[in-house]
Amino acid sequence: MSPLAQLGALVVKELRLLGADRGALATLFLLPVLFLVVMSLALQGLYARGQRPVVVAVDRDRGPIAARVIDRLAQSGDLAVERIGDPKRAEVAVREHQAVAALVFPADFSLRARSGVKPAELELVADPATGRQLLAPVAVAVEATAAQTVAEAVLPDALARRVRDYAQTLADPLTILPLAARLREVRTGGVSLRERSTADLAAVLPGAKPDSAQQNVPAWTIFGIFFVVNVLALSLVRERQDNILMRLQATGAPVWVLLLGKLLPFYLVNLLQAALLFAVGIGVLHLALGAHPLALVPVTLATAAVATNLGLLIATWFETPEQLGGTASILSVLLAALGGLLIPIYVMPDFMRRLAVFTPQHWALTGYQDVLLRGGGLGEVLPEVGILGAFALGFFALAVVRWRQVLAR
Amino acid sequence: MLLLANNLHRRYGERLAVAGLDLTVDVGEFFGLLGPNGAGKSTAVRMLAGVLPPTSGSITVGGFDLVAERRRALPLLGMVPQELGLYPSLSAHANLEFWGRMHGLSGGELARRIGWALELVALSGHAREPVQTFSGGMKRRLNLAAGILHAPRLLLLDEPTVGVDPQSRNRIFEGLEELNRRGTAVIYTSHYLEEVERLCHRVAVVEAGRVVAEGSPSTLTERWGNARVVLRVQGATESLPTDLRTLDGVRAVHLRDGTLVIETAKPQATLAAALQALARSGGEIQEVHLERASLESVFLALTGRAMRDGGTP
Repeated sequence: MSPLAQLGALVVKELRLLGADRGALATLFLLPVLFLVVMSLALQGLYARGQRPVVVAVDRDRGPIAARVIDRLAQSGDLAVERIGDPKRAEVAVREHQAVAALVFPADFSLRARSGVKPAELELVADPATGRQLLAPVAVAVEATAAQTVAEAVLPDALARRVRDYAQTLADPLTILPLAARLREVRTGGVSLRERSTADLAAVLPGAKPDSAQQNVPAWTIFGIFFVVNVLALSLVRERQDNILMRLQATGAPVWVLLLGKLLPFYLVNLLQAALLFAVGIGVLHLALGAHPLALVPVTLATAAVATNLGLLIATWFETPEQLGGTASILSVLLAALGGLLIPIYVMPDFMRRLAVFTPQHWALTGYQDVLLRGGGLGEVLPEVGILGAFALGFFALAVVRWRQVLAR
Repeated sequence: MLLLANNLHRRYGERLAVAGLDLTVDVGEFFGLLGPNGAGKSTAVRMLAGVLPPTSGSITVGGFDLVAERRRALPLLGMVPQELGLYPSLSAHANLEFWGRMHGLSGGELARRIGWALELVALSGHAREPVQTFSGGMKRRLNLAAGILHAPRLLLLDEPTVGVDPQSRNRIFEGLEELNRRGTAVIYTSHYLEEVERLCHRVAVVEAGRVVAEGSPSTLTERWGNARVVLRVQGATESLPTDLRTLDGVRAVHLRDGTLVIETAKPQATLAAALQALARSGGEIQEVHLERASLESVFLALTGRAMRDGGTP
């Protein structure tokens, strides 16, 4: 009884069973009620009172106008503004979804505003994964506040200067009337808001911005991959209930062979799922894969490994399919919500954002977004793949320990 | 000696399910394990099958220690669990193919064994049908086939006929008797005492996790079994139980609602003496029954309770 031959027999059997149970697999992807409930709960924060987009402000100008703009934005109630001295730290805050955007005041902001020759430039730095629906109101608020502040700061001085200059050239006050014509020439310089991504978009698609497919396909692919948790756990719990696991033990197959025999077919199903979802993304939604599409492969492999191993582990907690019920599905949906699959992580309250890093879904999404939105390659996704691999190995090790305990009862 | 279990213990938390079980099974023996629910039979079978480690004690199969030399001992064992260890959506053939491969069979040998096992349990004509379309009895027969594919030297069966129709039960019995004739030893647990009496060469009665009596069904019946003399009487009978208890062979006497029940090792002599005693006391006999000793009475004598509610099939 070679363990490898036993593993082969288990894999073939599992694929046969899966082939005979296609209806159940299809149904598991729906779960509309659970989905609706979790979505509603997860989105609560977005509409809650007092929930304001966080913007980090980098004041390299250190002049009165920039300080006034920041104060005004903070007092407006529309945004939560935090001052950060280091532009790099601000970008990190945006990348890690602690802030929706970073507002950067260049060193010559006040000077240009006062000169009135050129518009004073502001930079709004956002993550490419940030939705337009969230970023647009931030940009409007910043632009309006900055323009008003610059006008208020520059216009009185400019007018007074021009009146003073003109009056000095005149002996007769009546002749000041032509001043009106000179005042028309007064310019405050205005404010120009330039939006910038934390990623070099040119590396993804020259001249293009992240689109809906790039935002949604990875999220729903991960969501689909994690649905395997329920199917796999249910299959194991049934085998346990029907004494099949006991009979398998009697064949002398080691626990790791039994678990791998269950895991591998579902892993294959996961990879097919991901391939199908990306194919639909490319074919139907015109998904652009970024500059290094091959980097999507390790992210997918690692994500599927986490999902299948989580299924092995969860199955140890339940003795009957009734007990398992929808628990595994609910857990998948909750983890998906927490990991930023169902709602963007930057709209979540602070404590939820901190929790997100404990979900494999978060790292899977970050990995996919590195490739699709930030132009990342194999090197860039390695950290995420490593973390996902650690999740998978941890779950497998725990599953082996737990199953040994369960089977010895 | 094919199987030797020595001082087996199995603890579940505070509860001791098996408490010092000693068993031996010889080559080619058909061995019955009797006990009420909760006596520890299933736990014992799981330990003997190598799927549950004993808390203490040792098991050797064919000379191999079941824990230390597991990979050499397990191929000698076959197991037929109480619940159906089968995949309902797969065909009978696919199920057997899977279980055969798990036991290391392949190619022509696997095909030959599948054909043999299906024939033994009379399911050759249903090989390609999904198991979920089978009757309860057919599933039980396939369950047996899955346990014998690798030709084990010792087959462990845990309640293999629960919920089975008489026809399938007979098929299972015939299959087991055929296997036993070919040299396969069998450990058989059942609630059905008539099955045990028919099939088993030797029986162990298990109570509270250990063997309280062991021997052939006839030996056990002679040693522990009581025949019952049942008399429906009317009249002066108050002193009868006291008088009858002193008779040779009488083990218990009960009088209730005019029915006198005498449990005895010597039914003929007891009946004659009881009739004489009744005549002397002036009592009138309305009905007489003589029930022979059975394993049921052995069981009752040893454990103080009936084997199962609802009697035997």
